[in-house]
Amino acid sequence: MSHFSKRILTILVFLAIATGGLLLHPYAVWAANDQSAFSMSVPSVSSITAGSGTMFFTPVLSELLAGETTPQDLGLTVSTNVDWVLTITGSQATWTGPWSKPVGDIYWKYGAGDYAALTTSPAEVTTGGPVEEGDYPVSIKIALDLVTDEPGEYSYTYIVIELTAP
Amino acid sequence: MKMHHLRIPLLTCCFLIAGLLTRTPVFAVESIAVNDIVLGIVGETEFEAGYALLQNHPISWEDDVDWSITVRSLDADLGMSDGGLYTKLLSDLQWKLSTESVWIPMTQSDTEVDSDVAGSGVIYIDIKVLLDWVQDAPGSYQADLEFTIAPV
Repeated sequence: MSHFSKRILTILVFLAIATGGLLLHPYAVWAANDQSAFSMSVPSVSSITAGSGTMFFTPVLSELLAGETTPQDLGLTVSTNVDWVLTITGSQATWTGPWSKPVGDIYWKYGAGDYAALTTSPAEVTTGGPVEEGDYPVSIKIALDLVTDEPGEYSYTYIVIELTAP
Repeated sequence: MKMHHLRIPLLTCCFLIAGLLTRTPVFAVESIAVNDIVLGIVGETEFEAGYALLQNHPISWEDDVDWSITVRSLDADLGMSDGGLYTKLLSDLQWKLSTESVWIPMTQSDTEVDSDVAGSGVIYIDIKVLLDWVQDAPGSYQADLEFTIAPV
C-alpha cells in the first residue's frame, strides 16, 4: 500500500469515527438511578369470630321436659395464615343466676361429633391449616333440670374459643 | 512527529467535539432519590383488606432535559416464608402514581413511572402488596427496586 493510500485510509477511518460521534445520542449514557429496598414482615395472624358474640336461650316447656335446650350454632369463622388448634373453655365454674348452675350444664360438639360438657380446662375442638373465612360448626346446648333450675335469669360469661399453635 | 502528521487526528477530534457540543445540553444534570419502602409488620386489618398499603412515597428528581423515570425489581420474587415452603410472587408487589388509579404489578423490566419536561420536583407513588390468608405464611419479604431517570 502506497504512502498516499495509507493517508487516505487514515482519513477515512477518522472520518468514520467522527461521524459515529455525531450520530451518537449524547444522552444515552447519562441516566441516573437510585435503589430502594422494599421490605414487609408477615407474622402469624389469626382471626376468629363467633356469630354475634352472644347466645340467648329461652327454654320452653318442651325443652324443660326434654332436659335440654335446642342446640344453637356458635357461628365460628376462622381466618389464619398458620396451622392451628381450636379449643373451647369455660371461664367460670358456675353460672350467675338463681343458683350456681355448673359450667358442665353447657354442652358443645363439633360437626357430627358427640356432645361434651364444657369445663374450665381447654378442650380441643378441631385443628386446621391456613384458611380464609373457614366456617366451623360448633353447637351449644344447655342441660335443664326441672327440679334444680329455678325460674329466673341465668347468664354465663364466657365461653372462650381460642386458636393456638399445634 | 511533525505537526502536519497530527492534522488529521486533531481535525477529527475537533469535529467530534464540535458535533457533541452542538447537541445541547451535552452534560445533562440528573439525579433521583428514593427512600426505602418499608411496609413494616402487617396484621389482621391488612389480611382482611387483602393488601398492605403505603401511600405517597416520594421520589425526588432533577433533570435539565426532558426525562422519564422507570422502575424495576432487581429480584425475581419477594423472598421465601420462614419455613422456606412458600415464595411470594414479585407481582404481589404493585405500584401506581398516587394520582392514578390503575395498579401495576412489579416486574424485572423497566416500566415507566412518569415523564415530564426539565426541572426538578417530587412525584409520589403508592405501593400495595397483595395478601392472602392461605398463601402468605409468616416471613420477611423483600426486594431491591431500582428507579432510573433518563432523558427522553
